[in-house]
Amino acid sequence: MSPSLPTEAELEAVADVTARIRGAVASVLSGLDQAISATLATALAQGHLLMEDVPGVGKTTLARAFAASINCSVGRIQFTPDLLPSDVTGVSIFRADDHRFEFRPGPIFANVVIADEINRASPKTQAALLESMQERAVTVDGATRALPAPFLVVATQNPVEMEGTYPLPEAQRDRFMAQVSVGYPEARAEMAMLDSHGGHDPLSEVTPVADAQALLDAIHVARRIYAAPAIKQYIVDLVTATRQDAALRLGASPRASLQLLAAAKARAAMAARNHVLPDDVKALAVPVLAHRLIVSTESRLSGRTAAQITRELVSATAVPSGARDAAPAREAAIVRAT
Amino acid sequence: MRTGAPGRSPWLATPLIAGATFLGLYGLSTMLEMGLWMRSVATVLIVAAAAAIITRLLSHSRTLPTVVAALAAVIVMVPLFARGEDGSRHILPTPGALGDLGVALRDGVDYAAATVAPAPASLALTALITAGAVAMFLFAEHLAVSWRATATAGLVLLLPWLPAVVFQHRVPSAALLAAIVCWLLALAFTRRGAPTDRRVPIAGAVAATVATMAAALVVVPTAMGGNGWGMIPRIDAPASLQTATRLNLALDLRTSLTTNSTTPVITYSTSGGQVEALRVYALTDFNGVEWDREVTDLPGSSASSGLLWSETVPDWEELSRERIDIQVLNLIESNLPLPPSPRTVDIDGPWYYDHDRDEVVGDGVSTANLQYSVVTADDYTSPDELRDAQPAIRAGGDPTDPRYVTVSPAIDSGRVADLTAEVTGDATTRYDQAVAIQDFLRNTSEFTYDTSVSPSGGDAVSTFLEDRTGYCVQFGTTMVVMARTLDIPARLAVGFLGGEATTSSTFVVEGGDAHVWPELWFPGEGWVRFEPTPAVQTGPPPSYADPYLNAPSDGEQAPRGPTTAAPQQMPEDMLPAPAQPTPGQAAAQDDGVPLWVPVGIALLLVTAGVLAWWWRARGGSRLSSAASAEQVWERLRAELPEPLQWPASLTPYEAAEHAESGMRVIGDGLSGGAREALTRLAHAVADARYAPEGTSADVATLRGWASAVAEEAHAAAKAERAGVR
Repeated sequence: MSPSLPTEAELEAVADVTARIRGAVASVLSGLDQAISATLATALAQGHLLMEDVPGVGKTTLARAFAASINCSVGRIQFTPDLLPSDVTGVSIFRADDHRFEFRPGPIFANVVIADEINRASPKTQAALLESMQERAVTVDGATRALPAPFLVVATQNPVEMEGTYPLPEAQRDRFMAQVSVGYPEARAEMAMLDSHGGHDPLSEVTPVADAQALLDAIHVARRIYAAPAIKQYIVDLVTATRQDAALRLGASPRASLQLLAAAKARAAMAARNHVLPDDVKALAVPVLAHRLIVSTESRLSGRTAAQITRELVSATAVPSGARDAAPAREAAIVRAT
Repeated sequence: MRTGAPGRSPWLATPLIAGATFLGLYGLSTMLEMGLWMRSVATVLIVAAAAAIITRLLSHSRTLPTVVAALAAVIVMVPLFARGEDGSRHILPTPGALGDLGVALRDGVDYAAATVAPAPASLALTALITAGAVAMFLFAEHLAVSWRATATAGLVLLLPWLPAVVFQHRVPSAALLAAIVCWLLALAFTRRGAPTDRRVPIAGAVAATVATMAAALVVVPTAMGGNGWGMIPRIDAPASLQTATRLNLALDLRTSLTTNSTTPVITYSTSGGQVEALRVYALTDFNGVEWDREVTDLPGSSASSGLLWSETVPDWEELSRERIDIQVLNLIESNLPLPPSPRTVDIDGPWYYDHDRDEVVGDGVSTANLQYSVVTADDYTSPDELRDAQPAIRAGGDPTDPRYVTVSPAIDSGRVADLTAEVTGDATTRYDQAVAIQDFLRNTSEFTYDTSVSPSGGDAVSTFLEDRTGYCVQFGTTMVVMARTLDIPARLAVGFLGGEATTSSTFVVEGGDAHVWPELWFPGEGWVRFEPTPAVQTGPPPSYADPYLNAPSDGEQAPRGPTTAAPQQMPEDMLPAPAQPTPGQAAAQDDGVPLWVPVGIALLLVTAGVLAWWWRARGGSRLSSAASAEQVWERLRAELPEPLQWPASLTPYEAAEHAESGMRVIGDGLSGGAREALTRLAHAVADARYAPEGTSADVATLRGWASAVAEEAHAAAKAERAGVR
């Protein structure tokens, strides 16, 4: 553990910033605490977010509200089948007056990039975005240009109306730290929404409550959160469980373990805690793990989703009180009729 | 902070290492005589340890405490060991005093090189040992406390025990175990505070290790009939070392003999036939069970300066004399083996004659591989002359030293005196009394020669007179004591019997020929040897004390031919110890498990238990408090009624919620106090498990919270059952 633990003042600052962002976003979208938490945790853990849900539940609104609550540059790309990679990354244009090429940065050169309906673009364009996400840099015409920090991609995706789309392959879904489903709001939240959306765009009322530097500071604090060996053991146990479960064709990758730990640290920092609790891991297990898992055909036909299976695994995996050397043990083998 | 934090109380390791160093002296117990000199070592170690601890409290330096401790040790050693040329004591560590300390250390080295083990500790040797112990302590302490390499320091602390392992000596196992315990505790106190969550119950580990070591070192080998060292791998000493032989001067009448040495120790050649005995030492003080030999100054007169005998020999030139050329082999003694009759010695080197003891003593030399020649008159003594000493006895010709007639108060002297009076009957002269006692003891219908003796209390002579079974030590000692009850000055001589002939004029003496015999004083004649040990071991008695030779022939001396059958050397007599003697080696072996073994183990376990309890009671370290939080949590889970018990997949906070909702199912939920207690307990457990700084709650508080919750839950469960009924 080379870096020192964050001080209480630093943790308070993180909690304060995240609470303000949460408040600003919640003023636009009520009843989405889980999704907002996962979004914030992903941002603090320097991950990227995939929002997958039916149209009209506020995916884009959530992403835009989040971007608007932070005083930073925002890029927005509406993915279409004819979108080209250069439309994302930018192009070099020859300027005739001084006889040289000038780079025109694409929309990806922003702190928060909203990639709407990512599955509508061609795989080539998707790959350009995903590569930039991974490397936090763009290479155009042989020159590598770093993307600004912090850098957060919030991509949305529509699981229905899949005709004519290019669903993200598993390898590319793995690059998103978390996937959040917004879901239909509760009746009362929807009533409140109808009331507040009385004619004007609530997004226009969102004022920035934090700046990019505050977010960067928070990211640095989150990295230094302490994770006890028992926590790491717990993550390994969970990930191993996904790899062994018969209902899953593909389990979670080691990258998933890393990102689950990073996200859990961020969540702990948001709670002004200097150490990770298994509660953090549990809360983030579905958002971080579920979208990477491939459900076996039998399970899918019996109507089970990856998120469901993940939840079952979480509730069947013992919370370790200390690190073990032995192989992880599940409380009970899960036996299901298939 | 747990990260890189040092062990809880590293300074506690310093006195523990000093203790282990001091206990290491017992590892040398076969080479040194334990005694008051150990106080000096202890004093210097205490001062050095205190200096190290104080310096550590004031400074964070790694080397400074060791340097200060070394200086403190030197300052204390000056008044203890440095002596000026005139023998005056130095108080201050002036340059001259330090020089004298250096001289003392060099003297110690010389002394150690020249002295035969077990060496009585002289001032110089004590200085040397102290310096060695302090150096060992400083090195081990520096490793253990400055560098937290206590495990490696254990290797340093092991050094003084190495001779015992290599040469298979018996050392006090209790001291070894105590040293190991010291080291283990030091290990616990200097533990590195690694950033780990593994909960190490230190006290439990120490207790378990101690118990295991005790079992491995003592219980198992003892149960298997070994001697308690069984599990320690042994290295056989090289052959040259093994053949070295010494006489065991710790003559204990309670000890059975178990080994038989056929190692040749002396060869000699003479035309006069086999010598009766070769005398090496004289012992005077007997305490009822064992003989004690006091250390005296070196005598002044050179051994080669003339006739050596305890009484003047007026007619030396007229006696028939024989020359004996003696070659000592690998026998390491500080005294020359000499025939027990008037003699002159031709020998080079610093050998001196002790007139009182009739011994020739070497100054810093030993007998190993020594060659010398002796001219002796072995028919010097005759019965008539011994009888004629009677007037001189009455005239007060006995030595004035009262020790020669002292009977230890431990001995039932009245009974021995009655028996002696009965045995000597109407004998009127000292000679006749002595022969009567000797014949009484040699009578095989009364006494049995046997190397195993039954254990006795404080009066081994009375035990022997009852059992009538023993070997030379019992026979010789009993004759000395019986003679002393008659006020005859008597002492015990230690040496060898004459050995066996290899040719007509050469003889070899083996280790098994080691022997003791009584010497009685006759004015004008000197100390006269008698032989009360039965013939089975010793052959015929000395010619002047043999009634079969003397009674019929009325004064005519029967010559002892050179072809006299050598006494059959049956089992060895006295124990010649390998390499260095091991006093009391055989003592415990025949009596089963000595009492101290179970007592020692019990004490160790109790000590370990008390330490463990103490560690836990004071909250232990953070780690042990984490372990106890976990324990309290698990116990609460087991104690709670079924519906409240949480599955293992729940985090502490979820578990608390689970229990609380369970309470709402079986009753009205938890009261405010119990809910708070449950929340706090869950918080403490989460902290203990996952927080870098652990939990600050102590065990008692944790238990209080748990019992508050458990009580309420049980009351609710009981009420629910009553309601259902």
